[in-house]
Amino acid sequence: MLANLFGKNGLNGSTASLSDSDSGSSSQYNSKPSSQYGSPTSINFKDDTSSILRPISGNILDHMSDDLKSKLFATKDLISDISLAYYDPKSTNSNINISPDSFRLLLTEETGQMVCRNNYRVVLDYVTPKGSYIEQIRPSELKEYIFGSPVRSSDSLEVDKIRVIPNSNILIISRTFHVSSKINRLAICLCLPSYYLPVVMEAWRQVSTWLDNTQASIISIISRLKKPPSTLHLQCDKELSCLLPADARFQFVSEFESIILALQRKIVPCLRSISEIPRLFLYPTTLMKFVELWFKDVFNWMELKDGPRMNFLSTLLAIIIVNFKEELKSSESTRIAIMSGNMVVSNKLINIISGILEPKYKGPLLHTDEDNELSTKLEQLDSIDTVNTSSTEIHMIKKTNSNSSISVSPASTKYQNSNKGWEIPRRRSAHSVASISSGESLAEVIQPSSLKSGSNSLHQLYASLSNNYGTSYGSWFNKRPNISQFMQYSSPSNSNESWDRAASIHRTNSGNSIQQLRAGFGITPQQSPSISEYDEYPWFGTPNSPHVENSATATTSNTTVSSASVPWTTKSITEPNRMYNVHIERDFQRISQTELLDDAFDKICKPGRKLECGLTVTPGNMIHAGVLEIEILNQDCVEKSSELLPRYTSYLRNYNSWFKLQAFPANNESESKVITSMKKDLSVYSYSKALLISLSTRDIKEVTIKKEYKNNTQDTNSFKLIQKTARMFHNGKPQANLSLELNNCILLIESTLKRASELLKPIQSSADTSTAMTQEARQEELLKLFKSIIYFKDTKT
Amino acid sequence: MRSNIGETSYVSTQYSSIRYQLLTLIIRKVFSEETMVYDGSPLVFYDDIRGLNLVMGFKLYDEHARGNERRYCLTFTIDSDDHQSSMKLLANNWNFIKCGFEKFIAYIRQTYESENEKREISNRDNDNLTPLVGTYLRANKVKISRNLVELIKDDMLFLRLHRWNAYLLNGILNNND
Repeated sequence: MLANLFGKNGLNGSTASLSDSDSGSSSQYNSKPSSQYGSPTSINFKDDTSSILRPISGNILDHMSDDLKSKLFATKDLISDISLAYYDPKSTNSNINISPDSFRLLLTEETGQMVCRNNYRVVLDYVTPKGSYIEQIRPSELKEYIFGSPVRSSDSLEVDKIRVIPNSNILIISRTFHVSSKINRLAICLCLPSYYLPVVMEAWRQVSTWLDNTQASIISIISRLKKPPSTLHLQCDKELSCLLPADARFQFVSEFESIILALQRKIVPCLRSISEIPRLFLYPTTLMKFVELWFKDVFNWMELKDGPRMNFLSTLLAIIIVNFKEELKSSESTRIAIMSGNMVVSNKLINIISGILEPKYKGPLLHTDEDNELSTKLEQLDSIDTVNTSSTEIHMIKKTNSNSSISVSPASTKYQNSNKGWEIPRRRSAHSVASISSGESLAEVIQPSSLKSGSNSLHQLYASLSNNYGTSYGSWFNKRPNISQFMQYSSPSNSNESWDRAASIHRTNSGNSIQQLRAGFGITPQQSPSISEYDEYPWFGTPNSPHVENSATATTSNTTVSSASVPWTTKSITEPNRMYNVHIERDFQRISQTELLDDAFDKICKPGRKLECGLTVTPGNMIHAGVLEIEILNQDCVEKSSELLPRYTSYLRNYNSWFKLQAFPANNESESKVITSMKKDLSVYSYSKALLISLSTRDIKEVTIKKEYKNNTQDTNSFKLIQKTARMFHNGKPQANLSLELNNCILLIESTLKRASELLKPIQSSADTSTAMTQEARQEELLKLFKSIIYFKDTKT
Repeated sequence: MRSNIGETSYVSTQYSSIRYQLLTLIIRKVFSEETMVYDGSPLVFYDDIRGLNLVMGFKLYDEHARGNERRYCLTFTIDSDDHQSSMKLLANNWNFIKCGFEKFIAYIRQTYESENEKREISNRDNDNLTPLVGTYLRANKVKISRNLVELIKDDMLFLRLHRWNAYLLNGILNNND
């Protein structure tokens, strides 16, 4: 094993020729007569650089529409994080020449001999990947940064240091410490690409734990060396009175190996995930449009994913509000994990969930210019809409050409009107509706709608679609192939699956379909979506279907479904679900502070002008010195929002234990992955909690793992783990034993949603009644409703 | 110098009687014990006496100074034993503090450069006869100490700095709640 691991080093530097001349790693030492110094070149523990490095969770942004991006991240063009730019072959930034998983680890010892220039020695110098830029810095230079100038500090403290090496794009993290009152200083030094600097701060708990462990194992090595008066130790004492022999790495292979493995497996992946996974932006509750769209998204979800009787979403929201919201904010060991094969659906759910989570953004929101454009468009569309409503004619749906289409493109918000082969049915009857089945042209199918089967078929539809894995999700919003295109791109490998899906679609057509619902609402359907799009289809700017049962009655389960239930009609046919055109300057982790600081600097420091502020001088006396009171206006100090975004993210390819809210593909191991990471948390925390949401089976589970100490002692070694799993929602039904608070919250959410749905009805229909509300009053009430949901817990206590 | 924002007082002082020792220790650490680079890159260090410190160094060229440059550091200190929570505070406000410091350093540099240009122009006007003699041999004899206010000719500099620091601290404190 030893020979295997250190085979290269046997040749003493000559094989480390790659950077021999400029790394200086061996020359300095080889010139010395004493050969025991050897070459502190890298140890070849495990080199897995052969595999091509990819972003840690794939580039999840590639498959996202602009609309969704702005909903989740508050900007359409999320700037690729600097560490991600490494993967981009087109990147011209020369700063990013260091691969994100490269690091260099140095263990050095400084002897007490201040006179000698070479008063230090490198015990271990490990670089990965080989030949990396990091390798090129000479240890003698690094030593300057690690140990500082020859002026020695009088205290023998343990010092942690993080700094950037000038002109190199490398940062070093170092810990220097003393062992047992010796004057020798030992140092653990880790070099990383400099773009990790803010990330290191954030992951300091992990990094410092690693430093602690490394320090402990070095100390144990030293104490083991001391015990028997071994020849080695004597030799070492004679030479330079070093604590660690230069060939310690040969003697204690397993110790050093575990130090490096911990680095490779824990620290570097942690830093990479923290820096490479974009985080959600939590919109402030003051933004009206956010509240409105949030409600609409909730209704959309309930129609399409929950159906009339399922109160899956309201239960889920209630659980999060009651049991998770507070803890997610403060605790690192609380998680919400959504397991689903469908990226777009999970992102929808994440969007809804993130609406109720804290901490919300507090600062100002900048709207882009497009906002004005949009509002003018909306006005136009409104006028179109009113014209159409006045028509009482019953239109037949005619499809002259299967390729002609009416597009309500979310990007352009253009709504092309009835002259292109379509006419708009204006019927409002919920009982008899028209439907076009997807594959046929010239279809005129009029079917009565049946609510009960509708809900079931929707559920089936979901279940049949939700488990498809694959990478073809793409952005639905831009491409809409018709059925023939669909057939082309369905590859032979998944053709079975697509036929299954087709079958399920036909089944749903016989009963009730989304299209029917839409048609029943009296709105022109768009061109029939291809089968594969069904799952997502009605999400973009399409009308909300009418037949979602009044959710309050759903709880009192015995009531029969009334087919004349209040239709939820929102203005969303004309109003694109497009987000507020907000653009926040941010990177993957943080909101940029530059603009805020620029403004504040101008106000507070008034560069280039005379500083005019209130000054009063209090002369000094026996008790205190003179004080110059300087006035700072409160309004100059704008409330600043937290720049660091919480670790909530969207759909990821793999489960990532460092993120508190995420969705990831469901498979057999997904639950155990979460639970394993929870158990790992318990090495630091005493308590870990997770909400596991399985979208395909409609399960919600709450898992808590606690440490229980035996005999009530806080002895860290004598504890057992107690794991509790509470099924909150199972097989499409909420469990009976929910707590009272939870039940109250569910009821509140349902009644609030009911009220909100009334508020969100289109103006024209509510105008019939005399109780028409003004826009402002409507918005105000909506806001109140939203707040009553998200602050449910606060109002109770 | 003292300012109140809300109910919190922010004090700037030249001679701190309360934190004198801490201040000396930090100053000694930054200027002597560390290998400091004055290029505005951040250095973070932590130990049990000095707490967590974020230091940003910068230098101004001054022919009257030793080594022809004057070196300064802006330091942000959290005097706490709790390493984890100090680091968390720093992580939460990293851009704010870093950019805040950079902002002020940039201000000092700019003012200094524009001041230098003015000075050069006026030197050229007044003193056409001694173009190259300059500081060559006399250099070491004419080292005179000049402070930052004289260097950048801004009497209000420390008032501005005080106000800016108070603003930064206030931002960090508010955010921490």
